[in-house]
Amino acid sequence: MNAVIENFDVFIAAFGKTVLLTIISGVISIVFGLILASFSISPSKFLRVVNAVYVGLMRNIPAAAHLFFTIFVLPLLGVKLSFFALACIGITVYFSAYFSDAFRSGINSIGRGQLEAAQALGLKKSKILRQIVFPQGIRNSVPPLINTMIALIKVTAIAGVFGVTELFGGMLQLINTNDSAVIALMVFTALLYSILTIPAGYIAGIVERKVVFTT
Amino acid sequence: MPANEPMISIQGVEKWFGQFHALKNVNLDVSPGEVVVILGPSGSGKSTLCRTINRLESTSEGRIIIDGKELPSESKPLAQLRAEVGMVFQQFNLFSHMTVLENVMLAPVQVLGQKPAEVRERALQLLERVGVEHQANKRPSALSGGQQQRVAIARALAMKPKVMLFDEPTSALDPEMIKEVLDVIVELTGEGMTMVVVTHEMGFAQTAADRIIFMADGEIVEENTPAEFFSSPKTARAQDFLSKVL
Amino acid sequence: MATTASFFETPGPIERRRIRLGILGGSIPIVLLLALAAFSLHEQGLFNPERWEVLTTPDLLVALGKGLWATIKVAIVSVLLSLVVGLLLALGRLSHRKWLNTLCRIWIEALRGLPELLLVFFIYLGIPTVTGWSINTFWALVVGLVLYESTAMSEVFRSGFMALPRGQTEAAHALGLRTVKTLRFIQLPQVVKLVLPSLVSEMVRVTKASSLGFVIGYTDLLLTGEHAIEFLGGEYAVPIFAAIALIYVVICLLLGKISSLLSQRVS
Ligand SMILES: Nc1ncnc2c1ncn2[C@@H]1O[C@H](COP(=O)(O)OP(=O)(O)OP(=O)(O)O)[C@@H](O)[C@H]1O
Ligand SMILES: [Mg+2]
Repeated sequence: MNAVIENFDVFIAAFGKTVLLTIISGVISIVFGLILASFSISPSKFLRVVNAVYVGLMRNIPAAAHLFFTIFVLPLLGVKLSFFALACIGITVYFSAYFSDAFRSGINSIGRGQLEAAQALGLKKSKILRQIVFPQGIRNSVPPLINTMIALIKVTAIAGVFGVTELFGGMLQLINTNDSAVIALMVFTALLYSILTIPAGYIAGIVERKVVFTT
Repeated sequence: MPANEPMISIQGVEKWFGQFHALKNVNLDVSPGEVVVILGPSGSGKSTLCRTINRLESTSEGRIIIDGKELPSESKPLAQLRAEVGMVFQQFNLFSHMTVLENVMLAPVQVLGQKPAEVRERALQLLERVGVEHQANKRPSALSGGQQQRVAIARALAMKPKVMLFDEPTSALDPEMIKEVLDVIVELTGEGMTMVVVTHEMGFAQTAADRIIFMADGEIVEENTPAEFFSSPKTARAQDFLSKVL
Repeated sequence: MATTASFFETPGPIERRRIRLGILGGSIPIVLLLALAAFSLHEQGLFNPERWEVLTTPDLLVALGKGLWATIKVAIVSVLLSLVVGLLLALGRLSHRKWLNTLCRIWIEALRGLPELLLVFFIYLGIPTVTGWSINTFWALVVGLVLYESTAMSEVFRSGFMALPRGQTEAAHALGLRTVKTLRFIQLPQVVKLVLPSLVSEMVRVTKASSLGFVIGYTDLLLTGEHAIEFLGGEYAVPIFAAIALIYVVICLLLGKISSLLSQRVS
């Protein structure tokens, strides 16, 4: 327990870095995910295939392998960035695929019939997107988006192994110097992760019940 | 039948779903103000034909001409043409994130660019006409099936269409709600609206139709007046069909 | 893989031409960037065939094969154990005993909020510290993964049980079958059929998660790759990594395919 109290500042700094890593890679992944998802509903077969191939490839490579590539292999190819930036890239490449699917599931939850009704009324494609697809699709995407964000928070821990002193990396360093307090250090780390993930999970559940449109 | 130009002209239309031949050389002219009811067994291509008329289903071959204009394949002119053709679906397909009133107002405002205040007034009148004016500010999910379908009809009428297409408008309804929807449709026939109605309601077909089209296996097998079709159908397939449904 | 079915209707010829031009224009900066990257990689000799011939070295192939087997071993053992533990947790959640129900719920929610990596570490460092036993990397990885994956499986089972018609349980009770037997003979076979597709797709997750083993030094596919790169030299990093990534993708796509075939069969 003493080890936790003595190193409280280390934990706070590491926790802050986890939050920062989550926000930066989360926001960029959401933007890319949205772009990919819009590819998936585009009239161009080429763009739809681009989305399908990207998602099919990136989702099926483990997160650890993604981070291994960006943090370990990219510098060998002459990319000179901090571990933190490289970790952001790896997480973004991986989670863009998941966010694309999250948006897609929200969009696909709109019944095909509503789309046809809008077409039959003579609405142009841009109006159908703005009036029908986005308002419903974005709201229905919120629960899968939160759940994907929770998964992202948990994946940031892997960056700790590759030299980023976020929560998990900070814990590893503390364990190295306080090997008598391993359990306390790990439990406290777990607690800090839970502070981020468990409330988010509850919010996702509430949103799912309250906001989502059912057809 | 009036001698002037047909409102809808379907000429030699073929439709393939992959290997499946869903529409076989379909030819049909519908005059202005005429009410055509399409009957036929399940899977005979009634919905497919109805949906090709506003190109929700593209055709593999043939021409479809509405009020003198051929159905375009580019989306912009197609949208303009669709604005003149109202459609009512089996599953109502109301926009679930909008209120009933917003559903009816959407297209006149967004497609025709009319002033919301004027559209609102007309929309309320239409809702009153179909008997759901008290539901105007509710979400569709709060309405019964029959009410939703009447809103869907009002939504289509708000565009002042030249033609109305109905694809089995009462098939998804509980029996006690069928009449309230059919009454609205029958009222439209009295106003000279050109209509194509796919239905399984034989009573409605008998009283409301000017002409019956009987389809089987993707073909128009028989065209007849309702009186003759129901009393003495010309083809064996139609006789067989009627013996099963009546 | 994600479907490529059309969301909107197919555009007409004029529109199609406009879309094609738009894509062409939009992809110019991306193509330029890629060309730049490719040029720089070419300078480093990455497209040298000799670089890629390393993938035909028998020693490397044997090592990767061993790594792959180690990955598969962890995945299979973890999935099987997660199945059992997940089923027990699901039954706990469905139990009428309030304390058991609550306990299982807290357990599941607490574990689901934690990184799998942390759970693997809990076992790997925690078990020896608390009990004094030593635990090898294989079992540390398996137990850590099972702690997490079993909670996911329990949700799958639970929704499977809830999807069963109530009447069946009651009919079984009326026949005099006791709860355990009802479970064994009536419910479980149906639930397993119902949840089989999602269980196969859980396997995809476990296979990917097994790559966390490299953190604690379990020589799985990924760690084998790292060792190979260290041994052969950084210039072989890309070919070796590409091979590993491809193996993961192929396994996961195959499992995904099986899963969708199964769900078609079931429905
Ligand atoms: N998108 C599609 N892809 C492949 N086949 C289709 C498609 N839509 C319809 N079909 C097939 O075309 C045939 C005609 O379908 P259609 O829906 O027009 O029949 P219907 O006469 O309206 O029948 P029902 O009375 O059951 O509504 C059916 O055999 C159907 O399976
Ligand atoms: Mg039909």
